[in-house]
Amino acid sequence: MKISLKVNGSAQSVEVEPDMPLLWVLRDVLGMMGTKYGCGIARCGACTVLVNGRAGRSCVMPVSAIKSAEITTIEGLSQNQMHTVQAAWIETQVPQCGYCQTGQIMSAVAILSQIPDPSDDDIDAGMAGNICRCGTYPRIREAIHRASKMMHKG
Amino acid sequence: MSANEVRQLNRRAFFSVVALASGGVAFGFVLPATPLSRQETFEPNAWIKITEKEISIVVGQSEMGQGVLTALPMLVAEELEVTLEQINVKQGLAKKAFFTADAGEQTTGASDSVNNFWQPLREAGARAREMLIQSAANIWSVEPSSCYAKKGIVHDRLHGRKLRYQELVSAVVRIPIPEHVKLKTAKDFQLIGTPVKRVDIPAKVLGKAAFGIDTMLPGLKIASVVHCPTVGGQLRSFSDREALLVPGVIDVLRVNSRTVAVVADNYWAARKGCDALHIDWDEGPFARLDDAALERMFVEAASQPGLVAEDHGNARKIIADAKKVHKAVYQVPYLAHATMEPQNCTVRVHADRCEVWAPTQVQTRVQKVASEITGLDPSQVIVHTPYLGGGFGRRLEVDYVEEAVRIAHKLKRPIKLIWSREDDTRNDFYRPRTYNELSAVLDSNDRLIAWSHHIVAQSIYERWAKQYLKPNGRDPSCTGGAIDSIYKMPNRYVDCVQIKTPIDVGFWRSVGNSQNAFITESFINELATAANVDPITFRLSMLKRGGRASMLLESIARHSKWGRPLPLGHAQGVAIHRAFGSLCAQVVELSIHDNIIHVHTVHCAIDCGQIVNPDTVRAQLEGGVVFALSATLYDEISIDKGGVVQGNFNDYRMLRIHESPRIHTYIEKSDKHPGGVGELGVPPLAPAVANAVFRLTGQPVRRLPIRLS
Repeated sequence: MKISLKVNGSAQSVEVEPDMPLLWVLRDVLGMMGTKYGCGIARCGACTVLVNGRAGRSCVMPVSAIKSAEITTIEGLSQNQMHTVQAAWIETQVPQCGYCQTGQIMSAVAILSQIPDPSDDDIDAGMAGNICRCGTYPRIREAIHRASKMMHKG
Repeated sequence: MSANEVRQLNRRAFFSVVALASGGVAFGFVLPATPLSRQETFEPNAWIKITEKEISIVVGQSEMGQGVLTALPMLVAEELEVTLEQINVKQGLAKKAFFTADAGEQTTGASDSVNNFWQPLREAGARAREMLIQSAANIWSVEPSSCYAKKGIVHDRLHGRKLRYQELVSAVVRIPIPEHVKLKTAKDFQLIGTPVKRVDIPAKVLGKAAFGIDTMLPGLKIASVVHCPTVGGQLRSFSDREALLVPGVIDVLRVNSRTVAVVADNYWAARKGCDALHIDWDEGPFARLDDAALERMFVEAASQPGLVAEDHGNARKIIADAKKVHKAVYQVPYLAHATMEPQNCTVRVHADRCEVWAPTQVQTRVQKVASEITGLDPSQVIVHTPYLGGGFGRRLEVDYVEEAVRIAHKLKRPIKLIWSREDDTRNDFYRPRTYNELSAVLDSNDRLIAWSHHIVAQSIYERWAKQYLKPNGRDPSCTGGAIDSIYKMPNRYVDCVQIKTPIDVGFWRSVGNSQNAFITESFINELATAANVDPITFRLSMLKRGGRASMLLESIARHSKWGRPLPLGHAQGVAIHRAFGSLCAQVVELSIHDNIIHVHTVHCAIDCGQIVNPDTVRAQLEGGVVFALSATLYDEISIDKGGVVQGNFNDYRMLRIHESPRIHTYIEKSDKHPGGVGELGVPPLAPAVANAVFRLTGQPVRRLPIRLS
């Protein structure tokens, strides 16, 4: 079935089964490997993308349900220059193995777009859906605070 | 050279590095045009490659977040006199030069990469530097002693001339490799000991880092699998009729006696194909195995004598004769690795070679298993090591590699095998379940004079590498952390019954230390409590004054403000453990509300000898604490009806950010040979938490995960 999507500002047209989750359309059909598979049941957050600016778990989104929503993936954060959150992530040296980190970053971007100066509790609430097996949580908190400050400086 | 070519060279003369963040990492830069000469390569060893265009440092160990892709190049770069900004770091293939001395194969584990390569990589860098200096000295007709190397350039002290390493390539390849080199002392280190930013982090943050699961090849098909749900079961037959009707499914095949694969255009189709298979399993002889049966097996095995691991003094006699003996039974469960990247492997078989892309910690074993299946020589198996989305010891196994090679070899097309999370959780090589009987005697001065630890545990090395078994058959992974205690105890007896169960076991971050630190440090705490002595004071009385363990314990006591008045309902707990050549001490502070444990703060101190990158050391300790806390509070693998119960993160619970404590890390300054770091944060965490819980509840914690009623 032919399905049209808007991914990172570009129109995409794919020929896929309507129930294929967006995660696998991105990875296996569009070759965009930045969004990861961790659990397939929306429990780990590795597959997090932005859907009209809000965090969503692409592993449980049938592609036929996306319709005209604007999808942003990790690749779309830094098309012209690196996103401030990504700069903060590098400055803080957050990633260890790095596998969960694109999902973490997408969730962080979503939080900061809603709450520009989040408290630790805001961060906990917004990031609780993203598992990190390597345990980078203390640095994730620090990087989000750092990004918030960097964004305020302009 | 034509005028046009010269114009092009000048235009292309210099492009500068993109700084990715303040103080960030550059990816290397192309030099101003120099007269072109024959393309040559200076490759004095497996780690250094200098061409006219670039300086590369090659790493053979696997990057799984522990920072080896940065730390090992730092060792080379220090002596080679280059900065990390000037070089390209490359992941190497499978090669003998990358074998660790400890293992005799190419492997990444046991927290031993820096330990093993500390000397060889610095020597490699120093030799190459000396050769580059010599080659420049020859060109200038001066003595090498009047030259020096700095930041990739050889300088002529007397005449102010300089030559970049890239310009010396055709000259240096003629210089013989010097046998002896003098290495820097620590006071002259420019890189080693500094918090260099990791070379792999920018790509990981941009979503450009290729993990095993991200491998792409022309014509690649995706495979997923169904494994037998019971241990020891076998495939009888299967019907693939419905699976083949799923759009995108190409083939269905038996992989081995317990695995059926579906191959498709994409993972989703492969998975739907798997769900559409009708498989008749011979459940096998263990179809009724459950936790109750396993517990009975362990208790029954405990009645047998074990293989002796340690026997100092006369522990058993003193215990048998003592009026009062402190006794306890400790148990820990099977644990899954739960790497965030599920097991996967990509294989492309040719007539004369086999290419494998695997998130692996054991490149030599990948060559061996692919060779056995394809009939090719191991040297014809090319192993590409992408980034590992977590290792933790899971990638010391080649089961998923074997499956992928079988499928690719049979179908004669490139295949990427991806396991589902459920496959991953249920087909692991688990951290062993163990059963432990502890006994100890305190004298009239409350000094610990006799200690006995009777272990029941499965052997890992029996399957993984028999050559590591001791002469009496004892597996050191069962007793790791239970013997060679840091404490002075005049009478100690440790033995181990190596039980066999159908559950596959393997190496889980810190191996035997992961359970034996919990058991021994918790029992030490029970004894301190029985003696009514402060847990740190009790430990210090058994340690050599001024020794490394004693200093570390005093350090953590200071940093954590041990013993200070705490809010009501809060308690501190302490533990110290030695493993992989390093010491780690932790103090945790927690409270309990409604039977839920809240760990507020963890103080973590390490003495790991000389360090390469302090920021990586801190990160590994932070990570080890979080990793261990999941296991301490939540995790166990349960067996029922012959199979693993847990499947995904809904029932195998991972610690999340809102449950994660504040973690403070402290690194002891040392000039000793580097000890391990990657696994050190794990062993002390469980006993430190257990000790604090004991203080609050009055009940010793003897099983993990901690369950408060």
